[in-house]
Amino acid sequence: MRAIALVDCNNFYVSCERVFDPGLIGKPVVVLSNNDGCVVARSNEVKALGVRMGQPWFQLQQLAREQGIVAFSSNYALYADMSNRVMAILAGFGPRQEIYSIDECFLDLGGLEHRHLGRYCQKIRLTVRQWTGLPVCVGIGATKTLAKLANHIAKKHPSFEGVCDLNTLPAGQADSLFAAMPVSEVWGVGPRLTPRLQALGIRTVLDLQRADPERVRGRFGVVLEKTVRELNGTVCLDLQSVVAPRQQIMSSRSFGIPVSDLDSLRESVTLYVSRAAEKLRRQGSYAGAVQVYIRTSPFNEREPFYGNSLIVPLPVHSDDTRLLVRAALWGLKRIYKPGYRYQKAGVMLCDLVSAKGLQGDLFGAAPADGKSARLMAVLDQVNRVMGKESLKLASEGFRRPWRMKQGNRSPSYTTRWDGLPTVK
Amino acid sequence: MNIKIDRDMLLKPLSAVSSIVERRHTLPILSNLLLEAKQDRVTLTATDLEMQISLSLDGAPGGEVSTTVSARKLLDICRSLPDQAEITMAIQDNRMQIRAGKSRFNLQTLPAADYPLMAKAGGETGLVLQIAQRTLKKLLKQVEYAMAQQDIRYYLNGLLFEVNGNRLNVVGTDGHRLSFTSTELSQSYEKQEMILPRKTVLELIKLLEDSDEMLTIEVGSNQVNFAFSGIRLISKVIDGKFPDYTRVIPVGHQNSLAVDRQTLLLAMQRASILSNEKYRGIRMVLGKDSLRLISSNSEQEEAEEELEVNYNGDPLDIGFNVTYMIDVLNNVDNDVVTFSFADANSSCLVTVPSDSNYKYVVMPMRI
Repeated sequence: MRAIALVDCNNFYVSCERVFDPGLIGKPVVVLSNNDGCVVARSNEVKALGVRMGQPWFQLQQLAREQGIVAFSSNYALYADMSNRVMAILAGFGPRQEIYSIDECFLDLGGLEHRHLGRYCQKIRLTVRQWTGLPVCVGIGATKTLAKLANHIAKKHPSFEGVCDLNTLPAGQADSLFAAMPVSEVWGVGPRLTPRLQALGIRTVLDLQRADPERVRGRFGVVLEKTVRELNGTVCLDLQSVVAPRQQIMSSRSFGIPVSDLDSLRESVTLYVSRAAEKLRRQGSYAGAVQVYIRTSPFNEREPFYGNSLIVPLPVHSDDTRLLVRAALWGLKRIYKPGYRYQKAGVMLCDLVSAKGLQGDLFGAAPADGKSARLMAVLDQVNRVMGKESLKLASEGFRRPWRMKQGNRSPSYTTRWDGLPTVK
Repeated sequence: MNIKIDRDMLLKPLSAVSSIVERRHTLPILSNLLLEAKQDRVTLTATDLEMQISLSLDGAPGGEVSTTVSARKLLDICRSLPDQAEITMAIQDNRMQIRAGKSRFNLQTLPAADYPLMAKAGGETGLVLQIAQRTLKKLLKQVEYAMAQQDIRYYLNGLLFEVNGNRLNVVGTDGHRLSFTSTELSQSYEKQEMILPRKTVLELIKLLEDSDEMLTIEVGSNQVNFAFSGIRLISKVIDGKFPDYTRVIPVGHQNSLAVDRQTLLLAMQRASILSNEKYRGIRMVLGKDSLRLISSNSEQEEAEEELEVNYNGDPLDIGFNVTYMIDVLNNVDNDVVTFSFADANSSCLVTVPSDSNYKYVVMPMRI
């Protein structure tokens, strides 16, 4: 039997904030989405108050005052850096690792079975705790789907002390745990599938585990059949240790204040393309098309809604910020309508190819136009060494009154010199 | 009033004109075709507003009538009737009744007066050409596959027709590869060019026959007319400037290689099985008297083909989109194909010994 572990950080964003502000431990803490819109992370204390994931922050003002909830604007620089540290530590604990999201990864513990895996995983928890200050839980199962469930059990049942190994659990105990969990807890069973399964009498994880895979395939397709087989210990989804380069790169923000004029939209779109193009070059890709979109607030019922997007294909694949910006602004001009108060703009670089597979063009400049490549390399290097936006397109704007609200963002403790925490 | 016509006589012309009717149309009447009966002729017309095909056939109309009826339904009915059935169409008010044997169909019609016919451009025609159907068909088929498809450079979504002196040059390109062909005309003309839209080109290829019968092309300011074997095709032309193709057709590429077309085609097709699904890249590795084709996909699977050839040029390792190579090998009708290279970053010229008018240029791909 395979031993696959899922290591997951508890309430990751909140935990990151608490590492550098230990006074928050034991207090109700939330982290808000971009533009301080809704709740994206909750401490256990907040969960106990009944605050839901994704709940709009404005609905919680009164509760926050009464209960003293501390709210942070999201600080992705901090979370990404802390995540990298955790993942680097975990990579040392298993021969193969799949980083599944910012706060969780799968580890293949194959070859380590001779050790007591429960104790081994306690060591993982302790190490991550000691080296980063972050609490994690570990679930072990024969497949990724089972490891996910094991992790859930480890989190929900304090008696497991943060580690649940389904492989060594007595069969009866696993069954009763699965019978007590709703089927929606299974990896890949979403809100749309849940009612359809319930209609067939499949209500708990145990029900799905015991379902006939052939029948499931007939009714729901091969994806759910794989899930059923995975629940029974057959590996259908293996670890993907090589991260496939992204197929699209997206950059979008809500505005801090509604924006009506084309100039401000142009500034924001230019900024987002610059950000996306930086990421594009970092992964060594070239974009074949740029999508640009704008929209007004869908929640404001007093004003008419308008939203539109356009994909602008490029004649040649490119990673040159200037060309990508030109394409995006061309598209923006076509979808912009005056008289609306826009709340969000975004761009997406699509049809990405790597340098390998870059098709030469008969009429355009050579794809590896040395001048453009050198300019972009300098741009990226200056910004890496001297700090973000040291060198930028002037059309990104300087004052940016539309900038996103980030009322209470913690310092970038680990990535900026001026954010270093001081101990008094 | 009735039209009597043999099913077999109607079927082919009907499918010819129906093929341009768009499935998703803006105006309901565009899914119809125009049916006009006059004396002893029946004329069928279909249009998508960019092009229009009219076709006349012998029928036995019992009077004059014109109406429009769903192209798809009429074609489906005709197709499913038995061979040699005699069809009678009776038109009354806004209905058409079709009878054949014991079958009976009642179709809705829309008034012929509402049919958005493309007028044949009046005034002076810029240029009138005569060319054999067979010749035009060959020219189109030689170059059509290099046309772009829905490119933002809209002028590439078609073929360039360029008359220069007594030569007619036809060029297609999508920016990655270019195909060029040329033929001699019976008289000389002033230099003139037009871009024929992609859809028109593909329809023409279907309609043209391998015959020596002459075809007349009349080029107007924003449209072109083709007349041949009872068919009249009117098409808009693409209003744009075709890029200067002459500067991208290389001259003096030193490293040449002649290969058996069929052998190379089969090898390319085999190697393409394991080429990257997205980029379709293939490496052509040339050494002394050897050509190797190497491909690999994202799952690190590899294919290699080795061909014995006569090659004395520089050793070369150059990548291409394998589809572009398979296209040219599929579409030239010669046993031997010649490839000429400069270096790994420059275009490759493909020619055939039997037709010095034909040239195909492909840009390499980084692999």
